[in-house]
Amino acid sequence: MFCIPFISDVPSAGFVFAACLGEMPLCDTVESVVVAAALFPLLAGSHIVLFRRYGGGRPMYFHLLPATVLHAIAWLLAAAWLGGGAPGAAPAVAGLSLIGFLSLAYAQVFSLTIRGFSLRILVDIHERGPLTAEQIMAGYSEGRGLDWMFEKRLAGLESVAMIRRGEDASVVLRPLGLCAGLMGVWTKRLLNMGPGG
Amino acid sequence: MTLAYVFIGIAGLAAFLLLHLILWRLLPPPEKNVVALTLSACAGYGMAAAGIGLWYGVSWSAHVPVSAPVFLFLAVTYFHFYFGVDRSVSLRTLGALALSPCRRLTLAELEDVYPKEEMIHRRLGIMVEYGWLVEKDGCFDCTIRGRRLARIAQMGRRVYGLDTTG
Repeated sequence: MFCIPFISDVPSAGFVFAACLGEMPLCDTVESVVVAAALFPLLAGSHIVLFRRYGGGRPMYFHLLPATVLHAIAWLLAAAWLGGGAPGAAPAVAGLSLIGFLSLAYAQVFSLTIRGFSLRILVDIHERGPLTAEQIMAGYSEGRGLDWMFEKRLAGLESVAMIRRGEDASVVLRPLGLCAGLMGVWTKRLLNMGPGG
Repeated sequence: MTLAYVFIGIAGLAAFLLLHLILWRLLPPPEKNVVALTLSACAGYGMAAAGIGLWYGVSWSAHVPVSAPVFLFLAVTYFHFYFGVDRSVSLRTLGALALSPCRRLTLAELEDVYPKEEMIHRRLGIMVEYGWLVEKDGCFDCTIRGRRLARIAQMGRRVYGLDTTG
């Protein structure tokens, strides 16, 4: 069983510990959270299968959303089986929130793996280093170069209707891209951040 | 009572964002990093949980199983947004286009406002600061931590069956 210490509240810590010993049922909400966390490998595993089966070139959430839904359904079934019925409001909110958190945290790790700029530089240096900045630029991503990376980013923006390419190969902003761009600019000004990127 | 616990999670996010705004307006750029952001998040949740808990007489053990996951979900959503603003090449490009006179730029003009050298040097500086790279005589090499992370990235590439990354 899972033992989760609430060290600031000794009676509750005792309750949880006793539950861990199997002497009384665990709190529904804690159980719900634990089950959601324990089923995380299902989200990661199903996403990997979907991504390998149906390929890249699609927005990230194309594969992640069904994997997250599968995770949520599995959690619901497990929670209902363990609790003898549908989870109540508190366990449902707790379990689904944790699933949302795990999904987004996983999405961040996945995004870094497939398109992380810094991580790719790190791998290039690991494979061929030590390198100067110029060598890193020219040989980025196994020799494809930074122009390839930038074109890939522009293609991604075009695929989600944020930009379009003009007749003279210029880059033209579309309304959605304008919203995203301005949001970024205003956030950087509000938080006193550098130019970013 | 569930709504009250959810409210604590939301209040934690509000407290985190306020603390984050104050700190980011005061801190010098090198200190606006992941550690400071994570500590702000923890402090924001802690303050909200302690404050509201004391006000309404709700114990930690009662609300944490609900408020913490709610807060974590909201916080990671904000982290996605923040790191996109801070690090994303795409978002920086959109920002440059948004600030341009006709909302359009040629590739050469984009290069002027967002030079590739700047992209690389910023990233190299961050990785040296994090201890993943070390610079010597203008050359960059991986530290032990950097090599470990690079191997994990290579493993991720194999897991996902990727031809290219980056």
